[in-house]
Formats: sequence, C-alpha cells, structure tokens
Amino acid sequence: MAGILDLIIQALVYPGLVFTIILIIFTQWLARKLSARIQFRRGPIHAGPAGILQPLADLLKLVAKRDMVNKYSLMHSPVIVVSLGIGVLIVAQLALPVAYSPIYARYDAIAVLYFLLIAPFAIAYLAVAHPNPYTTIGAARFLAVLAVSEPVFAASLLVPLIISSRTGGDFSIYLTSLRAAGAWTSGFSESIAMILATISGFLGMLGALMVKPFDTAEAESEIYWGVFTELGGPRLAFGFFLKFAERIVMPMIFAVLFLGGVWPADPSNWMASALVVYLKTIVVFTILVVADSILPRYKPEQAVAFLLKYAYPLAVAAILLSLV
Amino acid sequence: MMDVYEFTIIYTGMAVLTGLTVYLVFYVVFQKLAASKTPEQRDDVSGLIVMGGFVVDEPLRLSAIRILKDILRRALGRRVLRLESFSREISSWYLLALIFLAALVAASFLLGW
Repeated sequence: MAGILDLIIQALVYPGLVFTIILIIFTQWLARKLSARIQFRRGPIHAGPAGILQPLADLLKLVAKRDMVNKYSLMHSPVIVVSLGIGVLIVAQLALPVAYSPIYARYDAIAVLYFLLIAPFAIAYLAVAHPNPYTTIGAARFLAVLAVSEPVFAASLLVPLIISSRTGGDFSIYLTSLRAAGAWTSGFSESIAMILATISGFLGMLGALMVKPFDTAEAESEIYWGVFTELGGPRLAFGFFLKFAERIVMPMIFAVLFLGGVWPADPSNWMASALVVYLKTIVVFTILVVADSILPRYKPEQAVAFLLKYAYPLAVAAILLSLV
Repeated sequence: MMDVYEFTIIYTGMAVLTGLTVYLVFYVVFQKLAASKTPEQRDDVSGLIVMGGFVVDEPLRLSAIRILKDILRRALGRRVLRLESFSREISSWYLLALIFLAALVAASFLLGW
C-alpha cells in the first residue's frame, strides 16, 4: 500500500492536480486545433509555440477576474462543490495504471463509479445555483441526458470487470486494466460481449460528457450556453476545469477497460504502462473531438430516446453474454 | 491489497485534499492577489434585470424538474404517463401503509404490547 506522502504527491503532483492541468492544456489545445482544421480555421496561434499555451492563458484570465454573480445566486457553495468534483475526478487517476503506486481494492470499481457521479451533479448544481431561465433549461436537459447515459456507461463498464474477474480482476479497475486485453480473447461470447459493451459504453460516455449529438445542455444556438450561461470569471473557469478534467478521466477509464488496458506494455513497468494508457486516452479524446465537430445535435427528447432505444439493449445483452 | 472501505476512505481524503487545494489556489489566492486589484465596474444600469430587452422587477423562474419531466414525457411517449400514474398509485398506497404502520407502533407503545 502506498505511504501517506506518496498518496499526497500522487494526488497533488503526478498523476494528480499538476499533471492533470498540463494534460488539460494539451488536450484542449489539441481539441481547438482539430476542430479549427475541420472548420477551415487556424485555431490558437498566439500564446506559446503553435498556440499551445492558449488554454492556460484563458484559465489565468478567468481566475484573475473579480468574482461577480447576480443577486439571486449562491455565493460560496457552488465553487466549493465544483472544487470537490474536480478533486474526485483527479483522484480517480490514482486507481488507474498511470499512477506509480496505484490504490486498489476488491470491488473498488463500484466505489469509483459512485465517486465519479459527483462531477456531473456538481455541474448541474453550478448551473442551478446561478438562476437564469437558460441555465435552468440547460440543467434540466443535462440531468435528462445524464439520467439515461450514466447508467448505460456504468452497465457497460461491468462487462470487462465481470469477464476479468474470472482471471483475478476482483472487480478492481486497476487489476482489470492489467488483464483487459485478455477479456477480448477469452472466448466467443466474451468477445461479442466486449464489442457490444464498447459500443454502448462509448454512447453512454458521449451523453455523460455532453459531446454531440448529446450536447443539448449547452446548445449555444438555442439556449446561449445552457448550464454555463450565467457564469463568468472564476466560476466559468471552475466549470470548464471540471468539464475538461472529465473529458480526460472518462476516456482514460474507457481506454483501460475497453481498449486493452496497459497492453502491449509490460504491466510491471509502470512508466511504459502509463505511456500506453495516455496514448490510448488521447486517441479516444481525439475521436470525441471529431464527433463533437462533425455531428449535428439531437433535440433533448431525441437524445434520451436514442440512448434508451439503442444503448440500453446493447448494454443488457453484453452483460448477459458476459455472464454466460 | 487494501479492502474497499479503506480504499473509499483514502479516495475521499485525497479528493477533499485536492479539491481544497484547487479552491484555495485558483479561487481564494487569485481573488486576493489579482482580482481584488481590478476596479469594480458597477453603475446604475448594471443592477437592473433585463429580460427580452425589457427591464423587469423579478426574473422569470422556471422549474428544472418540470422541464426534466417534460423531456422524459416527450422521449418516452405514453409509457411514461402510464408509469407516472402507476407510481403515483404506489406512492399513495405506500403513504397509507406508512401511516398504518406508525399507528400500529404508537398503539403498541400506548397499550404496552
């Protein structure tokens, strides 16, 4: 078990807070450049080489502004709740093979899934704590899509956990990530279950991360900015920090469970394992960015109906097949 | 290997520590050191509530739950209506049963059963 000092260094430095900020700067630069290329624009070019420091410049610009809210808003609790949501997301990486001294236990996947639920609810709280008709509509849309996308994402994650539990995975995310490649090849029904779970898990992840076609909660052209409409300065920075951290951690969990975990790296070499996981995470993130740039947006009821109609049957079939 | 309770405690502790660090560094410190030096730009107009181009006394308040139910109703069609009436039925029976149970407990105490 990791010592307390190790835990604190991991939580605050690597792979925790400091490294996550670096990763957010890189991934957001990548997202802006990619979506700019798709839309025949240049994207960020001024701050740092090739504009790579633009996300950092934006963060510093927002947090250095005076915190102002309308008179109907809550003052301190939204910022504290969002900070806690950011903490929960960052610490999830300690239970993944990117940590040099990971924390893990039997059935820890259940605990991690519950912890990760704090993040989207923090976004919803941030929205409703700053009353505005558009934030209320955005929060309601966000919760509607979340109510159907989170369960399907969680149900899909169970499939690699169930399959790997037969070879010592113990329903632990870290232990499963070391055996995740074997889940694809352990038998015919298991392979089919993994294919179905990968599709349903990806759809659930799109919904939970507000990626098109499920970004009805933001819907810029309809409800201004939805959940973020009333936010500015440090509050907007915190909302974005949470959203961008979520767009790293959830693809990372998806990568370690569905895309072979640390394979082809040697599990005993944490540095190689971490590198493989980061590369896979960036691949998943890139796919999300491309989807976000090229897909049209569903109406809220269409998004909910789509997930119920297609993702749920796939997830249920995958779980049943994994149990055979 | 630690057990899941130990894992949960460590996870909670580290999440609170990280969240607190984020709050202190990016909110408290930046507000004290940088934001407090910027002049506050407020005038008579910035206090007014404007909706649809008109000044109003009270902002329009919407119910997020009502919108959420509306989205689910439109997504699920008739099924959710049936489910809603069914759950309303269940909840009223549950409430009656709860009152009955509370009355039984109270009676048992009063009669010394």
